[in-house]
Amino acid sequence: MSDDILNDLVSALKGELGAGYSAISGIVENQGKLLAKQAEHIAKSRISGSLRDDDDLYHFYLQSLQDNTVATAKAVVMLSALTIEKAWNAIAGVLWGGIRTILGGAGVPGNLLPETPPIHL
Amino acid sequence: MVPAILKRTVLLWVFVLAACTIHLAPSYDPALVDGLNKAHTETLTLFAGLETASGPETFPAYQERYASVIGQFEALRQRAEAREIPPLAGRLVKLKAVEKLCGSGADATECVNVTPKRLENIVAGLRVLRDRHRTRGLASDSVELARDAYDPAIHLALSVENALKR
Repeated sequence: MSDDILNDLVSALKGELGAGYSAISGIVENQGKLLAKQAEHIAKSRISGSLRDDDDLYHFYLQSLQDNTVATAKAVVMLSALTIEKAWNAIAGVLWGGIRTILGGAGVPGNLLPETPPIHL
Repeated sequence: MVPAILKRTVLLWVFVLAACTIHLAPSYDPALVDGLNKAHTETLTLFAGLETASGPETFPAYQERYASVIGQFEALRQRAEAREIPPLAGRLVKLKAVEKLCGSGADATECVNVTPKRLENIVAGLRVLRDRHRTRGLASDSVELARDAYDPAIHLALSVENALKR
């Protein structure tokens, strides 16, 4: 019984952490390409395009590049929190399932044991 | 031999852990995602149209379309900003380690709700493009520069919002 719970825990944790890492790395890779493209075009335009004689617009797009870069880092924080949330909830789900089985086997009526963990923080 | 008190404490903690689910990011909002997809399509269509526009005399033909996308993104920004941030997420960004990256106050909130600030930047970029078009006309690389600023912001907003679907 405890081996089953442990295996389920490891499998749930692996699944959620793997999916979370994959999503975050995909987003970061895509953002990296887009930010590199933005930086390249700003530099080109400053040298020989419309930004050469337009300081205001040049500073606006530089600021935009900075904002997009900082936002990517903040999105990684948010998506990491989301991954932690999913991993925690997966573990709680498996543990709660084990507790229900044990308590149910000990004679506690099923209607007293909700199917999912009852406390939401 | 493990003392009985330790065993009971561990069991109690396992029970408490098992009984609690946590919420560290806002809930998925299908209306927000639909709105983002619609506004995104309309904006790409506007950019495609602007590739052949140039002088300020061409601005009136696009005025309504600028207003439409700016209005949509502003409404979506307000919607994203007004949604509830889970209390635990609010506490998470106040941790010292996270604060270094996320800053404090409104900046920190961006770490648990990325989209509003991205949409604010999109609106600012579209306004700049519109005002340049109206007053000076568009240079050959104006649309490309505007899209370069727009693309990372909309992609990040869409990716994050879709990731919230648990």
